[in-house]
Amino acid sequence: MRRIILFLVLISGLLPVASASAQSGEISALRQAAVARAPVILRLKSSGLVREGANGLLEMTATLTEQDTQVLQTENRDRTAAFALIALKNKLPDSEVRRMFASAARGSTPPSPTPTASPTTGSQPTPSAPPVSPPGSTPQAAPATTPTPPPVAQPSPTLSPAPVPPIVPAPQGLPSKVLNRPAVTLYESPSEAAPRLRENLPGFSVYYVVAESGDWMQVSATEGGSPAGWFRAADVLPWRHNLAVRFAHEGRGNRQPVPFFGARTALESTLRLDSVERLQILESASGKPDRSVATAAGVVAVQPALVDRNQFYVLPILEHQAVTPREFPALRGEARLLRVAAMKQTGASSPRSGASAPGRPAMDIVFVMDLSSSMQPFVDETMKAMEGLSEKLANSSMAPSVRFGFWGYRDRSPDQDFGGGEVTKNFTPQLQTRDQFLATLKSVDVSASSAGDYAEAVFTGVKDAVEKSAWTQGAMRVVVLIGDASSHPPGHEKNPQNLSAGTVRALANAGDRAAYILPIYIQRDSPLAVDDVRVAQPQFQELGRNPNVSGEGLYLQIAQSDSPAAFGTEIRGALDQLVARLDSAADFEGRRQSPSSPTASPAVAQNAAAMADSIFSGAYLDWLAFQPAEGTPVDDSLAGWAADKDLAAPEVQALDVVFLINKSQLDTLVRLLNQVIDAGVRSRVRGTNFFSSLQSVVGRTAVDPSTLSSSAALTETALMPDFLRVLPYQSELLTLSQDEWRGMSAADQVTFLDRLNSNIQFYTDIARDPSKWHPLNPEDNREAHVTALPLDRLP
Amino acid sequence: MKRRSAAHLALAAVFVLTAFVGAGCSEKPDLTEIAPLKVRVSARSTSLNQMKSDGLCAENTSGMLTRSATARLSVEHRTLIEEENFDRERIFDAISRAYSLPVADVKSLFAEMQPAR
Repeated sequence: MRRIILFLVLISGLLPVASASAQSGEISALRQAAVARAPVILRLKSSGLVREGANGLLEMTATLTEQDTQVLQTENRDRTAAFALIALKNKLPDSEVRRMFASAARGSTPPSPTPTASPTTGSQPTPSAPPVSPPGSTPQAAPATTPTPPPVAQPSPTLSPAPVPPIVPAPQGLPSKVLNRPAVTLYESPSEAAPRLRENLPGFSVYYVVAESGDWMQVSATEGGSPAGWFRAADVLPWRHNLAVRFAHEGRGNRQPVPFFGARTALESTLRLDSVERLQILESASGKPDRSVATAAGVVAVQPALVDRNQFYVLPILEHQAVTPREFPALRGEARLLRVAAMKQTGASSPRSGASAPGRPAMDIVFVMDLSSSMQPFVDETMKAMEGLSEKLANSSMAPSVRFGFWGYRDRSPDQDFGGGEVTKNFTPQLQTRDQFLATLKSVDVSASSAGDYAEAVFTGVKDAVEKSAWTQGAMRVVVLIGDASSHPPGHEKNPQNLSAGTVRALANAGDRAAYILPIYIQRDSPLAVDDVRVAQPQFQELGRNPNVSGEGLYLQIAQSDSPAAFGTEIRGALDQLVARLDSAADFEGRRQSPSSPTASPAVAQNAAAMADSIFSGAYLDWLAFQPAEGTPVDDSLAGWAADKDLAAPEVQALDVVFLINKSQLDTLVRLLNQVIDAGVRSRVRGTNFFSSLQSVVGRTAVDPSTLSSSAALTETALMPDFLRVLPYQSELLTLSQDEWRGMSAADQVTFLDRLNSNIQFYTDIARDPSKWHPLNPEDNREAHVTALPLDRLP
Repeated sequence: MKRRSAAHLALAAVFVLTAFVGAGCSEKPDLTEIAPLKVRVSARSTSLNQMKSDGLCAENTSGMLTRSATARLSVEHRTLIEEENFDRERIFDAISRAYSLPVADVKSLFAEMQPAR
């Protein structure tokens, strides 16, 4: 069974960069600046406009003037920097420094205007004063020259008690859950003198709150299970929604690595900077030229260069906030600010294995071609292109690193399919060398007859190629799609799996590694084709929306008047480019240079070679993400703030928010969608009110149907499961009202229902795939296993 | 459950057959209102039979079609089933009124006459 590392170490520490002397100097400078700010800070605190937060930073409790806001942000930025320096100097986790500082600062009421408490020399902690105090702090000064305190692994009894993080009540109807911090203890009763049931627990296991008593919390390992023991409240983090993040596209793509800020205000301040300043911070976070700028901006960590997408990992979201371009003009649309927890990887990473050893990238190129009667010339041209490639490969060391495959697809009809109702055919059960593949191409046969309609089983062809090809382990995956017709849309009788371009694209992204699709659409001259291109274009474009490649989904359109000769030129260009890039990648892989960043591309590519170039860049970055991580320094654990968009290019997704859903919840979701679709169909057929129809559909279920008829929107009905209602996403399903339903055209209603139906398909496929389910706790039974469902895949 | 006389059952069976197959006794009550429904039911019978053999839907004991809980149905499939059930309901109602029979009896008789599932 594949080893699961639940919470991967994903954060590279930024802090161990300064020398001791530099630290003292920097802290001294920070302290002087704090002294100058102290009158303003004190005024704000005593007037109740700001308060000390549990993370050692000041929090706004009311709207401030612009000037005061700037002072506050500067204060927090300096505090963050000071915390980091103090933590480094004292060999303490940053979080512990903050906790100690916050404990003292929050306990001192009213605050004392003595911002000279020096963090400069490794002060010994005492009950009345933490060993460290960033600028602007209020407690008394600590002795100036005391020995460096021991590491916190053996906490000194003189340490200030850690503050209790606020346990936010779970949304109504949901169990209250917490995550334990790393290396904490589970006690038999709420006392540190009590017997220790488990010690040094691995971080971030999920527990359910059974009872609370003062600063203690009784927990069970399973929902509704018997109590497992007691945690100190300070040893757990509240986790309300089962939300987590994953790094978008797993690799870095053409975006900067995600920076994590110690405070939300620091992240917000960065978002308000101009693009040049933001880029400077991001580059500094990556060490270019050094990390001082990022540290000063409050960055406490950064996404490591390489993330193994084979691992099931999640970074739990502890808090989230939606923000808009109105608040932050740098944004292109709504974004989320997320406070996430991360920890150090304790297990060994699992370096990839297979034909492609580190430093030697490999590539699989699988053709997926429409094999209806008119396509023979294009098969022939593909063969010619392969022959042309042979010389290049013969003279290249890359020959063993490239494998080829071929899938054909036709239409779902007895005189068109491949026999036995099969609409796809795999001509290469094992991927082949170039010579083997040339022989295979000669055996490819197109259909003798024409189908009754224009569209073909494009989606099934791509889906089968993505899911069923014998991909070489560790190799980049490229799918070259060639067709002259659109796919039957979801809901069409010849698309029984209700596949959509989005579903197939998601499947292509969801494998062990993403398959990069290069779609080529050949536009015929017939009147039917003119209509078809309007359907095909968005489909092919969506399929070409490859991860790590910016801009709209790419596809190439070739007019019939130019084909098949033009097609031959294009396919040769694409293959040549892929192999050339592979060759050069192998060459510079040894030097670990960064690949060139792909640039935004127009929706319709100028030529296949350019498209192949972009695709290669994306696939190569994906391949890089598999490489075993090199020794990156990591912090033990932290909770940091990050934006789900790239701070330098906010139109690019940086973090994907996922909902960890269990099987029971997924079943509930499928049942709900079925009920809504049935109600929609009933409403359309019978001309009845949507909610009355829903009432009829629900019938004798556990939900009282009378609660449905008067509802203004679905979210108000008892049908809506609590876990869905509280999720922070814009749902077209939840907000559906009778007025909205009635306001849709008949076609829009069908499209809406088709979308919901496609979701059912997607969820059902996930439910049936055991590899997609993972335990959150080792003792979880199968029913409690979860899968990471992107929020944008929720209805 | 309410018992029905044998004669009652036989009569109702004929009525149901009349409605759906078009073959009936000579002295039938006025069922002209269901004529257009019969046309529609007949028009979709081929598609529905195919769906039944594909396991997408099945007859239930109340004379209605139910969709499979596990098969993958398109919105078009669901619409066909709903239209069929809607028409059936109106046919059952018409027969029930014409012959003063409980609708439930008409439905269950119709269900009993369906080919074995």
